[in-house]
Amino acid sequence: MGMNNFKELQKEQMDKVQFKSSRIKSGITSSISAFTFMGNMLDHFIPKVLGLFVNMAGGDDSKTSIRRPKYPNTPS
Amino acid sequence: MFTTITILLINLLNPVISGSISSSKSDDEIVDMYIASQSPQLFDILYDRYSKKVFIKCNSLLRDQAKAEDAMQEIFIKVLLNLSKFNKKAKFSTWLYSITYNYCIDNIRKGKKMKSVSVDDVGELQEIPDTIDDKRLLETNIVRLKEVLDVIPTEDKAILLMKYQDDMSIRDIGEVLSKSESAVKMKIKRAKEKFVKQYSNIYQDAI
Repeated sequence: MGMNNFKELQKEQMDKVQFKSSRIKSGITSSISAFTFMGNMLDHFIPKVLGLFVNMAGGDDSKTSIRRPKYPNTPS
Repeated sequence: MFTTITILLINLLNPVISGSISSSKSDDEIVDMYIASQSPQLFDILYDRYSKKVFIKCNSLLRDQAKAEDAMQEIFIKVLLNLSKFNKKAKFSTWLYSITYNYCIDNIRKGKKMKSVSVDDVGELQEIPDTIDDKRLLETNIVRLKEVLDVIPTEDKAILLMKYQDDMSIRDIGEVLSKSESAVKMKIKRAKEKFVKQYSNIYQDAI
């Protein structure tokens, strides 16, 4: 493998580089947490909102929603 | 089964073992484990491995420390949100750098609001022989290399970095730039010509 000063330049820059690493990392983590929270909220509430619309329109949401037994291990 | 146990152990002993995983696992393995567990410590490992390189690229293309830090945050968020789409056709690093270059080039284009004429639009591309030897470019003195890279147009700089610093294939570069392979070859050739011309202008000397 011959000389590659493009890679050497990168190594040199990596030794000298300074940036707000921890601030950026916490920014990323908090953004991802916010996205996850939003996703969970949507997952939780969208089926209920859709069911509400179906009810308001005079439909029967029992066909669209999944009926779960009140207690575990009991027939529905 | 083994993966599940590993993930459970990682979640329990995150702070203790993240250091050892950092050196022993490949990027692809860490990506798989992150997708399965969403453990922030696994993200930390990828971040620690690549943050400096991504920052250097952003800073070198955007030429502004604050913009580069913002860009880096956006890039890593983009990476995390799209991690499940990473198909492992290329290395994780190549995929990450593609997103980095793409983001920076888009950012620069938006800033300039300039309509550039694509080499694809010029007409049928002809295969023009590349007369500049790669070896000459690769052996350029580091100080001079940095100086010349700083004065050539950003897109040409990005192309040269993708090819010679990150060893990206013509196909991968084409995906970043949304260009055909022949257009990419043409762009590389032109970037090299501009590099040599700027070198001669600055140093009154052939490369």
